[in-house]
Amino acid sequence: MEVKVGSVQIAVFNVDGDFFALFGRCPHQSAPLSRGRLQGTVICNADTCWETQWAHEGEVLVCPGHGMEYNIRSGKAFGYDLKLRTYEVAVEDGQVMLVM
Amino acid sequence: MADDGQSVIVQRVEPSSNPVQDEDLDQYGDELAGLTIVDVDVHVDDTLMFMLDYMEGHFRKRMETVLQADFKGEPGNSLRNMIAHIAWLGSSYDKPPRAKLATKEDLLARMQKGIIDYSILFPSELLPIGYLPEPEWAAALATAYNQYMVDAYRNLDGVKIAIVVAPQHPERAAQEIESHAAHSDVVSVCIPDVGVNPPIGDEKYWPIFAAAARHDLPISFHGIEALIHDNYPLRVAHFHTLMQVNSMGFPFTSMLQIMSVVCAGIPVRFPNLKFAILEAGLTWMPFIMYRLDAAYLRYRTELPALEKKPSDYIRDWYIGTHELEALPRRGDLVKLIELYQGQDTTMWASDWPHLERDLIAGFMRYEMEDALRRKILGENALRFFGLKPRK
Ligand code: FES
Repeated sequence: MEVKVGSVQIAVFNVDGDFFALFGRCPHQSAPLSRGRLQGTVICNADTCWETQWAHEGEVLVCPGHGMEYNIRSGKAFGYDLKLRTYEVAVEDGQVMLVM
Repeated sequence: MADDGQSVIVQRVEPSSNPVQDEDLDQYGDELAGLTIVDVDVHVDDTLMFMLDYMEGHFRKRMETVLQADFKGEPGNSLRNMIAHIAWLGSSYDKPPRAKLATKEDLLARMQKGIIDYSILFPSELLPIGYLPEPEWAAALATAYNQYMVDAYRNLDGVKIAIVVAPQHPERAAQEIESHAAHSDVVSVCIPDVGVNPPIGDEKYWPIFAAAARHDLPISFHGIEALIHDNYPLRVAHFHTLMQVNSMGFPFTSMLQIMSVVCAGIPVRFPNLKFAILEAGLTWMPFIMYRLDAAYLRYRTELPALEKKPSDYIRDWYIGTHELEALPRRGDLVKLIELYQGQDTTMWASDWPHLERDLIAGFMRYEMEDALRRKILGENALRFFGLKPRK
């Protein structure tokens, strides 16, 4: 879902009870990230011995605009030198709160 | 012959001037005083006859055969002429005069003016090496060229050498790098990029990049008219004139090879390896950088090794100014360089003494801050080739 704090849109996700909050607009062309789906992606690096592997299942937020992918935990964009701002989420007495 | 008043007597015509001495370096005087100038693309006479003494066995025999054959064209039985100029032989009518081949004495005379601090020697004759279908023969030519150049041009003030490798034989190419890397006059590995198939990012070439990275030797891609190969980027059949081939061939090939290297993830695998593109002009750089970025949005998952978008890698590539496009306004060059973010990567290059050479005055006519001019004329090249300032 998307929440608005002041003028800032924030995308909030509930993944099996774990909450994640990120800046809600894609830096590419401002598509609303709250409408993106979560899936995995392919990685290939020294850790995979340069083999292409499917990884991060369920933790990759895919922008509904043109498909940029973000690690939902870190906000880091896969394959870009770019990171979305992330927000801490606290759950108290059944209330979900963003720590700004 | 009948004296009918109409017949023309054909005589052998000597070249109309000597383009090797076409630039009056003295004219610059104060304008260039104190500036470090590195000419990153200089050619000397390296025609096949010089390689004969560096070949052995059946390849030496074969070279003798080549040198006995009469291929016409310029002196020295030229591989380039065979490959590049046959189709349009004579089409420029000696206008401008065909470049003469610069001898070692020509080179030293140019250097002795004290204007140019460094000349980086690149191959001429072996630029079409990528076309040769026999890997062993191509490798033997590269070995002979490198040994000749190192023997003939070592220990000359301000003269540095780019060794050449035959990409169709990656193991021998890596050996060439191993054998010459320690030589203090060897400053780069030249991969002639035209005709290289599959494109140079292919995994089969990675031993070349691994060897260059091991020895911290930068890679320079150097083009040639893209002719007579039957696949991408350009075929001779597509063009009626050499001008069209020349205009499109260099940049198309450069774009192909940059795209291939970056998409193969080579900058990620060999993060310290530096690359340069020579003799392809500049104006296409923004195009390939940002065109790839746009496509990368859709196709990033085909390139999972990349950690940044393509332009973030390509802007690290160094690029020689030659053959500088005829930008019409004096402020255009700065605007262009800003577009491809090339302030720290653009290097002045003349291609002396080849036909299309750029004179220093051609670059000086473009307006820019002094700091940027110093970078382009010399500082960027010092960094790329790992050279110490001489002034
Ligand atoms: S708006 Fe997010 S990828 Fe284009």
